[in-house]
Amino acid sequence: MSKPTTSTARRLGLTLAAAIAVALPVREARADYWVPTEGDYTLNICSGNLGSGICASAGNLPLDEGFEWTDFTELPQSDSPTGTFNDATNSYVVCNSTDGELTVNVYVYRTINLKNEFQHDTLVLEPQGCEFVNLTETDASSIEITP
Amino acid sequence: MNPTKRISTLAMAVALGVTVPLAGCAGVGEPEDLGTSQQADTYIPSFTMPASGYYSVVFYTGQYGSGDSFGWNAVGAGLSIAKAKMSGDGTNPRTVSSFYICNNVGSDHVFHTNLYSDFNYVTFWKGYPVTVKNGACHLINAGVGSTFELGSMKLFY
Repeated sequence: MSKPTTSTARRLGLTLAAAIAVALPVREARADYWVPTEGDYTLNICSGNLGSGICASAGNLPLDEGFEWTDFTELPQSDSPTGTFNDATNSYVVCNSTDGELTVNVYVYRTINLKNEFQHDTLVLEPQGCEFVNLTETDASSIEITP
Repeated sequence: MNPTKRISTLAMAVALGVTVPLAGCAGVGEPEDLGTSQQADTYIPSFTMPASGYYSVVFYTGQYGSGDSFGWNAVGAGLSIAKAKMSGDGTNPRTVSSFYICNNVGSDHVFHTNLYSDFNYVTFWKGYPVTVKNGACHLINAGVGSTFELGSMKLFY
């Protein structure tokens, strides 16, 4: 076996870094909802109805773990499109990019740190499916999802 | 009812964004024929929740609801629908990648959707029992990043 060259080693290093990046959950502000990459699921909460407006998105979420977003003001505002996300929250979107059906429970809260729940939905997501759900109130501050 | 007149009336209603359930012609497991005219396909630019008592089904040329779209945005609760000869150019099946169903029928519901690559419901491509919460939309990235040829479809309420 030939010894890896510097460029090969660098490529391997980059590949490893890319794999780690894919595996770790990430959060961003987006102009629309975030669709998932292969084998994970995403959670988006958006200022407009049915996934429209500005969305705060959590992606690369592993299937065996839930996710908590305890304070929407933690959003990286420098990445945010114009407008302030916290002005209103009107909908959330959950996407499943796996080959199997995914059932999740979503809890939405009025205040930070997952307090004062006002909405709980159980969603059955088809393979490669997303569900767009409008919120019953517009002042959500935290959310959690459990597969 | 005269069949020719029935299809014509329905095509006009769908083109206007309203689907009219026809007494004695539709029900669970008995899809209502939406006709084969392309004029019956309503262009729907983005996710739109239909009025109370209705559901919608819309197909997209791109994945995850991107690209051009066509579908039906006011199908009455309880009504199954069937659409044969889905063709943009009159010769070949439609090229699509994803579709969604929006549910405003008043309760959570499972919509059974069958997709076929030919014009006459013979060559089955994929089928989905899509569970959609009331007041929500469910998007299916059926092509998994690719497009597929859609010639006909049936949706069983």
